[in-house]
Amino acid sequence: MGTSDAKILIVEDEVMVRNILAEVLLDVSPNILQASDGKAAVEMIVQNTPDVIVMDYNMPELDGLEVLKVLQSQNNQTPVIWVTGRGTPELYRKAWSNAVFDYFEKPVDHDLLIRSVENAIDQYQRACRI
Amino acid sequence: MKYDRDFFGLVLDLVPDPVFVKDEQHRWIYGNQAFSKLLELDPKDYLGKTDYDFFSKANSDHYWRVDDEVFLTQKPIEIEEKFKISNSTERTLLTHKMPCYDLQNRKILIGVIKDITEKKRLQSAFHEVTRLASLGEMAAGIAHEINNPLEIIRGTSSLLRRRLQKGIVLTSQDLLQSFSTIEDTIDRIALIIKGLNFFSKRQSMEFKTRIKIADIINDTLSVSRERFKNLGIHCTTKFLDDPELECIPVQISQVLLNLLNNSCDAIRNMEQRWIRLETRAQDAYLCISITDSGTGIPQSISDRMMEPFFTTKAVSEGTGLGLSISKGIIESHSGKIVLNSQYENTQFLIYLPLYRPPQGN
Repeated sequence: MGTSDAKILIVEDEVMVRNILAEVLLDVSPNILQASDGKAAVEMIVQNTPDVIVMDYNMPELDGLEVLKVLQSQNNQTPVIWVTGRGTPELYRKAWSNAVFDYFEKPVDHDLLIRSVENAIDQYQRACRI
Repeated sequence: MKYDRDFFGLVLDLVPDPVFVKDEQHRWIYGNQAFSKLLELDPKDYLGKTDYDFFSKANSDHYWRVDDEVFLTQKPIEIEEKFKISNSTERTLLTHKMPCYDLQNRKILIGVIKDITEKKRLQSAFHEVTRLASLGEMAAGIAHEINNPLEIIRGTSSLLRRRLQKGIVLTSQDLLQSFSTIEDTIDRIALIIKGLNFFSKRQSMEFKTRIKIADIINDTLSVSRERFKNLGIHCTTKFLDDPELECIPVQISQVLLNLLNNSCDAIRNMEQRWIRLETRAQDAYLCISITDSGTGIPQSISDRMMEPFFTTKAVSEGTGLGLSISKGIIESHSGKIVLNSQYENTQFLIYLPLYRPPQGN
């Protein structure tokens, strides 16, 4: 298994942004899953075991940190990449201290996002093999 | 009478506020030490003289008119006046003018002056601080509202570039669609910025203007609409009455925005997400009701929510100043802001006095 058949979950409440991210990340893998809020995301993670999660931080139901806490409580190691429209130094620190794989502020540089998603998948799959 | 004039003169000289007495011809017949200091004159230089001997004609005309009113109606008047003498800076005075009779039963006028220049200065500094605080509250919300559309523009353009680089043929249909996405999204941002400009007009912070309430509400909503849409909040307005108010529009807008932001935060995770704004004239007041789908506010919170720095939000999400600022603003407009705890949903009511044209003589 490589990055090209990895499952990518995109969590974003604004549909236009979600569609754009989905199309951009098709460059990494055709297996794109989408959720529109944190709660739906948690269900999807359990059912579909994605290899990486790209999620908006500010979302209805559960926000980025709350989703992360749920994953950690389930001992789920799937790498999470935060994307935020409200970037602040505090949020950046929060991302680091909670072992978020990467952190992007909108508008996102998609080349960097693709590279980060590929790295995340790569690391995660290697960790799973060990 | 045990005490003579000199004694009372001595007492009045110790009073730190300026006190004066005028006869019916508007001539000063007494001034205490503080009054002399205010005029920068010796009593012998102003006793027997009138305002016209020392002040501009416009100012004197004004003082004179107020004096006449007191003499005529025999009722005390409290009036805020601008005062400037020679080269010194302009001061703001609050003058109480009271009608009275002297021992010979002649009409006289007693004036007591409070210098409120410093108080006024602090007041305007306070307004500036509250304006900045609510701008700060807004800034966080607005960043999100602008960054999302920016993401859409950047994303749409970057998708086009990627397809081109991969040699995918773009049809004119594809291109037209992308262009209109970009243009629509730019319009969205422009609308938000238009709303922001409204908030940054400094001069409009100080002057009351006559404006229809619907204009204020619509301007305010142009800032929030994006956020509502993103959060799936249905916002409706109903102008049962749309009278003119005499107010500082940007401040009223600030209050509405504070309440709308609170509503947003309270209901964003609820099944039912709606906000309703209604205006209705009620006696001499306009009542603006802001109702959201929330289920009310517990008394333990509502008791304290108007206090400065009281907040139920996380530190990064609120300063706890929104409602206390709102209360201050509405009260400075001689209005009232209350939580309607009887209502089944969360409902705030703002009462503002209706504009009444001055009575012509």
